[in-house]
Amino acid sequence: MSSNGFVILAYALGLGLLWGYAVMLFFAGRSIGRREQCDGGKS
Amino acid sequence: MCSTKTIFTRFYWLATFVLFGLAIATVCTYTPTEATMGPIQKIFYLHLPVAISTFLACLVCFIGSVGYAMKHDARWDRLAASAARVAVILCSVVLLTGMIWGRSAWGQWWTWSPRLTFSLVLWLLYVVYLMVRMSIESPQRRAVISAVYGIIAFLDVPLVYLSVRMLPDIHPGSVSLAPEMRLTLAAWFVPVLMLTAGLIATRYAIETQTDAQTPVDEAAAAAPGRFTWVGEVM
Repeated sequence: MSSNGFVILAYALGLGLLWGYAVMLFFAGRSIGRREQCDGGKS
Repeated sequence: MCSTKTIFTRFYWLATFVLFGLAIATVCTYTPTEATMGPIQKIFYLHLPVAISTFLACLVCFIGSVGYAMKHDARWDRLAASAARVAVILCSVVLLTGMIWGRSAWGQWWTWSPRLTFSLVLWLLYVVYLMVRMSIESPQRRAVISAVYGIIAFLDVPLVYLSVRMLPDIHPGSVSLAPEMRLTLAAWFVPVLMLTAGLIATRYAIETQTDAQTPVDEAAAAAPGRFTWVGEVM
């Protein structure tokens, strides 16, 4: 693999992990918010 | 109708995303290629800000742990747990980008140099922190043990930072940068720090919501010695 290939791999892995985690948190927060709405704040 | 908080949150994440785009554009078009190492040096602009963010996330975990030890308030415990989760993700990125850089610059994926070893130990310490949290059912006992562990685990951060200065190491300790390279580095620091703060805040909000929805298990609270392994760690 060329140097440019290693650079692209590093950025893809690094940014993929960071933003992947951010997206995961977004959906986790949304599902908890929906559950709260369904429960009507009872729990 | 969106609340002010929702609008701010959306604007914050949009700004972070746009700044990341600008930072990537800066690396691709503006910053010069380093003379000795060539294009592989460009990994540095992601590697260093994420490494500093890892230290900051560990510091937040340490502050949360000390806060809980002093005040016994669940909010401090949630802050420490949120920061630890983000620290693991950030440290994973540091190790991965460092390994890729090492493969190209030193010809090997990994070497047991002091900084690399202490960095791996840091990652393991915070992974174990999360596993310990997941294994303890009683909220009070979990918070106390996590606080003690969080304070001790932070001791590795100065070791990672100082190892390269105090011990012989293949890892570079300090680098001299051209003005364009410094500007690129600054352009990366801003979105990475914003992303770190955003992730900790979002994780904290989720922990708060989850705690509010979880009914208090009196039996678990009364039996602090019960340990249960749960699959979900992150």
